[in-house]
Amino acid sequence: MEDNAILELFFARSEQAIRELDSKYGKLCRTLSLNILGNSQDAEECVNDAYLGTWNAIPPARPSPLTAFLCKIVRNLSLTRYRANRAAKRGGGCTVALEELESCLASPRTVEGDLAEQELKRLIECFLDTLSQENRILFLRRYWFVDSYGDIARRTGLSEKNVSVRLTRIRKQLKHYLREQEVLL
Amino acid sequence: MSTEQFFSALGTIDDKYILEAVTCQRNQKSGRLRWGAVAACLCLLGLGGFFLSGILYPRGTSQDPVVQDIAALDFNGCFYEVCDLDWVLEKHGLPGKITAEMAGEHLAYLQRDDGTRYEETTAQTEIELYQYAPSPCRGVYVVRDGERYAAALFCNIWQLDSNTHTEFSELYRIYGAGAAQDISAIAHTESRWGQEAVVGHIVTEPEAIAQFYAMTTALASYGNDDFQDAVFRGIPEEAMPDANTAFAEDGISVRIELTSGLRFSLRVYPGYGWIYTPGTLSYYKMDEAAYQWFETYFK
Repeated sequence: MEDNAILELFFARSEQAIRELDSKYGKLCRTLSLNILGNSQDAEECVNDAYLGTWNAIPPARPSPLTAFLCKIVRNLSLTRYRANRAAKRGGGCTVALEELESCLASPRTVEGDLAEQELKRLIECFLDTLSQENRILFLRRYWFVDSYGDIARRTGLSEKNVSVRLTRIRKQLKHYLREQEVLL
Repeated sequence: MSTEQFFSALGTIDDKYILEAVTCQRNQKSGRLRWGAVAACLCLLGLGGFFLSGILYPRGTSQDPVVQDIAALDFNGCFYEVCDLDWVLEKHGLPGKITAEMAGEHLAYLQRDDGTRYEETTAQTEIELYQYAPSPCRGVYVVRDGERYAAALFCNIWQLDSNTHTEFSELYRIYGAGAAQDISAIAHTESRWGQEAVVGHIVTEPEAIAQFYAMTTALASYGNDDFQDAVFRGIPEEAMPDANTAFAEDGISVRIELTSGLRFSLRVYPGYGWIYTPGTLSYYKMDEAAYQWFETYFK
């Protein structure tokens, strides 16, 4: 079903909207949440919470595009759950991806420990614009969707080794960029 | 800056980056017809969303990257979206820029309803809807909002409920095509890294086009409920997400280009024997002639 038609169901307060949403985006949402949490039960709960959040938001919201709107909710809820799980020492699925970024971000010598999120968002978007489309997609699949190297390789047709090498280069570019922007010293 | 701070901020980036990453997918081999590189990326995910990312926002409305208003238009029982982005226009076979010269016969005055959509009004406003002069039809209109010109691109017919359906021929009529001679090309397209590309050769032979036109206009149409019943009946609820995904991955995009230059697309699911057109929100069951046509020309 088209996104517009799903939105109309939400506006009509038809519970069919949730079924259509799940039918169309359920797999995407569950995969994203599972990548972050590494636990299918937690992922299922997060996706259900995301559906509830969407139900409460629409109307009045009429998100466009619906895909990104839903993915952002799922990612936020999953990261919140991930932090709670980690605090409770239950581990999680996105630890490796976070550790990869650690090498280019975690420096005690950052200019501002609490750089405003909006400013950081702007910097990230500028950095993404400097990448080729293929590299941008690799970066997003790894650090936004927390896909494994194998998943990215299957999706893009590249070898796992190639994905790994390219991501290493992109992280180096990111570090260089953040230094240039004087975010890292 | 902590890694988690970066990770969180990354979650707020503009939707266009997310859509780009969602809609990419490598070629896959699938389907009953053993077509070569099939299963492009604009399956269930993304096509609508990707397209919607190019919407013209009425000035003064929300530009929030998460919850953005849609400049939608309801007109004559159809749903349109108003857009002035060159790559979206070109995808629909229009020039990259809509200008005053393209505004044909005046059709209606419009007003903006709380910034999210345009609607027809009897009052004379500064927003007007015109025929698209180079090719007057219901597939595309010109919107003048003050001094700004944009295209209103046909999205779909409003259906009364989830089981109402429309004949395929109506889709041709919407784009002003009343006969096979109005079609100039039929192409199997796929998207890789977000770019639409033609797969194999483009069908331009008059005889093949005539067969395609006759075949599609003869197909029986189904509403969504009947289609769901025909394809997914008996599948346990827990297996439905996978069944839906398998169906989506079987689909290929077929682009129809008219002699007027206008283009529209449909989805063909060869492994399941169905055709879907977003414009009619209807499904069409493939018959022997349909299988034969796709076997012959898109093998």
